[in-house]
Amino acid sequence: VSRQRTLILGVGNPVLCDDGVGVQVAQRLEQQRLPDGVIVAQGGSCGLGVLDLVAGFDRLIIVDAIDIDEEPGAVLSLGLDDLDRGVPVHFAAPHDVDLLTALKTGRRLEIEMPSEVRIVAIQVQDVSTFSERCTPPVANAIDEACRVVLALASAS
Amino acid sequence: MAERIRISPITRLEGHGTIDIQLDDDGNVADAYFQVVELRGFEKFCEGRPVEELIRIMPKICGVCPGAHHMAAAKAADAVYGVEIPPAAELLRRLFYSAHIAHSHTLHFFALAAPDFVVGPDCPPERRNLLGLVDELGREAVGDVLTHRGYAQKIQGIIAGHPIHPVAAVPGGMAQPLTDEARDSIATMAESLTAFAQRALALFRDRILGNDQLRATIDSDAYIHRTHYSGLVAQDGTVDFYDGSVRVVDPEGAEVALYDPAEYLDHIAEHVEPWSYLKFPYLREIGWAGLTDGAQSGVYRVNALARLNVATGMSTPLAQQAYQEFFDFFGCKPVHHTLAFHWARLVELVFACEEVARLVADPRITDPEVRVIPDSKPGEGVGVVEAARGTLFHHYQTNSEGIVKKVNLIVATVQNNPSMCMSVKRAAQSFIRNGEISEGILDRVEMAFRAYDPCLACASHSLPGTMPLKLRIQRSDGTITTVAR
Repeated sequence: VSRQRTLILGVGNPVLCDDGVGVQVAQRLEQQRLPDGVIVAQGGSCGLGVLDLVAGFDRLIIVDAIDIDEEPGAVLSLGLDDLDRGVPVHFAAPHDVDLLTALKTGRRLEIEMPSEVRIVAIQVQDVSTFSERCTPPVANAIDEACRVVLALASAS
Repeated sequence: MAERIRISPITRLEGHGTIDIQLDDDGNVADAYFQVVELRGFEKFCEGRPVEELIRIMPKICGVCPGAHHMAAAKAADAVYGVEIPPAAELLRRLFYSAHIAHSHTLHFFALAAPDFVVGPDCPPERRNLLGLVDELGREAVGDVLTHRGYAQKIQGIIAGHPIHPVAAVPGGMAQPLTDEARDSIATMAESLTAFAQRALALFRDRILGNDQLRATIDSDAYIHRTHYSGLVAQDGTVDFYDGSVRVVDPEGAEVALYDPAEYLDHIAEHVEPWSYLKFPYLREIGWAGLTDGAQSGVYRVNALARLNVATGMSTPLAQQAYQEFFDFFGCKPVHHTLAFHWARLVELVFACEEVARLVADPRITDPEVRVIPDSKPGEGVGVVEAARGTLFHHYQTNSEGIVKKVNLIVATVQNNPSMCMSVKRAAQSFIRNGEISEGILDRVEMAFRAYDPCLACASHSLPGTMPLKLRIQRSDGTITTVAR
């Protein structure tokens, strides 16, 4: 019996302040003991490269920054159907297709794709200043984001 | 009635920028502007770091061309220490970099450019993308694209330690040699890549050049500018992505300059406009005559079309054949057709893939001697490569401990900024008449912009993709209409 496998993918620019919060969540999770069958990866954005990563996984959890009308540091758990609330920062990849097009293309080409896609998004404060650190409210939300991600990854 | 239309082509944006088009009382285009958002603190972020750290950090400023920044930074750091890298290190860097170009050109052509031609500008945006290509070309053809995009990515990852954030290049060479096993794996992929590049070129020939309407689009005055061109050439005058001299030609193809990249400040000056954060580089030899083309204007273009225009040919056989076919088709050199950037990119894709195959077959590629430890006092250095989208200059000054005091970058997209502004305006003037604006018309305006494969990430010193490209049309009485898709 094959065990359910989950890929946690943290995306963002690690040198552009809150933009990189998804990567920081992934880095934090890499230091923790994860449930069996859960793998963590880091990426820049969600283009066609996602297809190279997700093959063989049953579930994909993307962690990304988002900029909507929430308090900085708010952690949102979203599905692909919730994107009318706002699209996470790196879902529309420049010089590449966006995440939804990538996933749809993968399905059309009959690549083995995760049946479930979840998004954990963190409201940003500053994505236009160069810094390897997040702003305080966003940095303080990393622990909570990790908890939300792990709860999703542990769900059966 | 004045109107402003804002379009967010969320499926194929290239960074965050705005195209503003202003209409006159008759609804025709009075003016057009291309603008980007400014990001803060880049110089401060770099200053005070050891110069070798910039090789690791610079690739992160751009999610689109990390490989180009990695190479330019490494070359600048070599120059800061005045060190010559060993032959195997240069071969490895070139191998990595050829794979990087192959990856970038594949992605741009199939994910961003081909839908405009193969699916068509009049199709709804939700079909005018890679999925639309599946409908038009079939699953096998698009699967072929994904496979080879993956190969080019994988080769970069094997050599650079990480596919997205390369870390392998160091001052004086590379951190580690290539193993026999890795070489064999790359060699297999290289053979397949070269065949794929030929198929991509055949697709362009059959589906685009073979279509009278698309040929007419390429030939249209809406997409032509007679500018200068600039790009790196090898000693024999052929296209070289990694190293060489900068050659500049005028709109008739006559050489204006051939210079050592370290002297770039003697040849490139920058004009500033109050309405744009992006500067407007121009040829110092010619001078700034405004946003206009012709022999008297210092506006020049970089990227694939420019590289082919300034070179004497390509150094690999299949690419040389493709190069000849390209110029025979247009019957002139330089070629001034903006949409020919796409074809030029595929000629270069063939070259990049042939280069991967050539370099990996070189017996010195696995030579363990890949680094010279720098022992001289650091100071100042310029590193230049041809990024996928044009010449990329990194210029660093350090103190005697190698701590960075000053950084200057001139990226490709900024050099193409004047031309992009001109191309967008001309396309808008050609297609927007009497205030009539349709989805297809707007896409035709964007095609002028897209041909340059701009990366606003580097241009504004940010990872691109944080905001979509917007297109606003403002009518003479100030009314604004917003269209988003």
